[in-house]
Amino acid sequence: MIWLTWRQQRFEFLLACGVLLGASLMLLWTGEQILVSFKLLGIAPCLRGIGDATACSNAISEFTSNVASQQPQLSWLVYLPMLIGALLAAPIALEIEQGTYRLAWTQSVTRSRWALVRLGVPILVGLGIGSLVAALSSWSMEPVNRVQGALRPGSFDVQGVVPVAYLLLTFAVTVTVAVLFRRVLPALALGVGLVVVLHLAVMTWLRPKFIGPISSIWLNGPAPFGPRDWVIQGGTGSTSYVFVDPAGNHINLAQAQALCGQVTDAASKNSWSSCLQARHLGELIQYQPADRFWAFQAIETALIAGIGVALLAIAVWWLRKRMT
Amino acid sequence: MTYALEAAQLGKQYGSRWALRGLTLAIPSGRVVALVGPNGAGKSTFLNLAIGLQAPTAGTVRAVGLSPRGDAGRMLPRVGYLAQEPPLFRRFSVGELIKMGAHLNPRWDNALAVARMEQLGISLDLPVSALSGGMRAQVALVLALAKRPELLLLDEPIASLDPLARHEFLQLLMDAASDGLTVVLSSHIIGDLRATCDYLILLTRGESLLEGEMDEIVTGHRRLVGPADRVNAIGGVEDVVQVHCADRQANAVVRTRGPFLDPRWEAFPVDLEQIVLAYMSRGSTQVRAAAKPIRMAQ
Repeated sequence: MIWLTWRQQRFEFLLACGVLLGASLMLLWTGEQILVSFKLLGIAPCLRGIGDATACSNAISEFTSNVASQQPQLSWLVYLPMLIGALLAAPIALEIEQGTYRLAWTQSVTRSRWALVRLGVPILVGLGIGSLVAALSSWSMEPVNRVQGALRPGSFDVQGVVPVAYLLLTFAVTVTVAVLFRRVLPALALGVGLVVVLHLAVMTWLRPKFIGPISSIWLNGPAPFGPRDWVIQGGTGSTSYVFVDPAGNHINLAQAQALCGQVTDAASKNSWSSCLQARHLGELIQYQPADRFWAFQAIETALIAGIGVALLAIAVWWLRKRMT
Repeated sequence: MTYALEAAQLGKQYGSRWALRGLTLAIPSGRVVALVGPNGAGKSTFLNLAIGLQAPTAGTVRAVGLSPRGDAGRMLPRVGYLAQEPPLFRRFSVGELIKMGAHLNPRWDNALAVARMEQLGISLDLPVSALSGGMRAQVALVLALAKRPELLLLDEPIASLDPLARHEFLQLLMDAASDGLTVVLSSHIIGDLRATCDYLILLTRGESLLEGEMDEIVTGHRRLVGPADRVNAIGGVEDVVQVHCADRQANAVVRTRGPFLDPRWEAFPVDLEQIVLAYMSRGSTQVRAAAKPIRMAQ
């Protein structure tokens, strides 16, 4: 059965390995660029609190913009596991559409054994490839993590074990749809489409709530969160500020602007700040501390891989009991 | 006595339609069985149930004494199956199909597979996608034979073949069947089966109408020609299968044992096709409840 599985999808296995090779070369190159920038700018001593504060601030912002210039090459990494998952499931979906599995089922192997090997081998190959890609991209992001943390969307998604879970889920959705409806194209479209949508939903709605965020009211002085924490409410670049008055009432931005005016230039910014302070209005900050990275990875992996395993269980049950 | 293939009250329902209903039969080992009937009679369904590709809605089926769904691990090595349009892997070569067989079957006879391909003049390097319909059927049959089965189920194997390919296919089958192999061959073409098969099962609308030794069935039926007014009183026959009256002359297909002696009727032999057609037309016009399988064999 192992030989048959290899023979039936050796093209896809080799293609997946080619993708792995290409991604590895790109990640090694990008990781090297980031590492060089990290060393040249002397970021490590800055992070330890050694060195001139202004120079360090400049160095870190230059490093951040260097990393941002690499971002286009890293952002598609989020979808790479899903593509590999679909690629490895495609020959199985095709075999189900064409009905050639019946040839194997009328040899001397039971359906259970067929399903075990026919699905198990691509899953193992996928887990191997996914782990290698995730390990390499974790390595390339390591200097960035030390500056910005690894919890941010886009960064969190390409590191640790979460990418492997999404690979498994895409494989599982594709196989399950193929088993139930016996069509390749819907299986591939749903496999990739559903998982991309689910990933976006988890990233946007679910992940910030995996563990209750730390809330704090920022009146003045230094930010209550560190540069590596993931701020999910308020902070620089936020689109929905919430202010809290001494009584604990929440005030939205429009109401705060009615009280303290709009910020248009440096002068109005100063008067805005002093107005807020005079009224004891603090900004509501919620954040996930950077050290929750592995807890979040564990939760999201359990969720995504759990759905994948449940779908595979349905597919195998259907193959064994209902498929004709 | 052990049977190669048994069914008891076997039924398969698709939605509200019964593709097969209340089928009870027992096929002795070593026979070459023709499973005949019109399209949609339930032949493919029966063979799919026998190899375990489908699960029955009602009743049981046992191949080589084993349940195809419950005991697949022990049954599959002993039963070969050839689908109507054999689903061969298109990206494989013929040699790789043989390798697949060797990997998946414990009783695999590689020498037989290679020798048969050579006999057929099919190169092992030939890709499956380059095979003609006839060659595909031949290759699929060789795969099923090299499994060294005790029971071989063939679903309409000759329907899509031209006369020459049909002849070659049946020849290959006959060579293999000589060593005690039980073969069940479904077909809606009856002509070629008289010489090939020694046992007949006639399925119509999911039910068995006739079952027994080929020779007994052929010699056990007569076509009678006689007066139309005596058609309800034909003496000395076991069953009147079909009557056709024209003017004052009646033409009847009857089942009878021994010589037919009534002098008012003239008796002629009938061939297999006429017998099958007679039963099939009766199955569609006469009282459905009475359409029980008629066992000719003891």
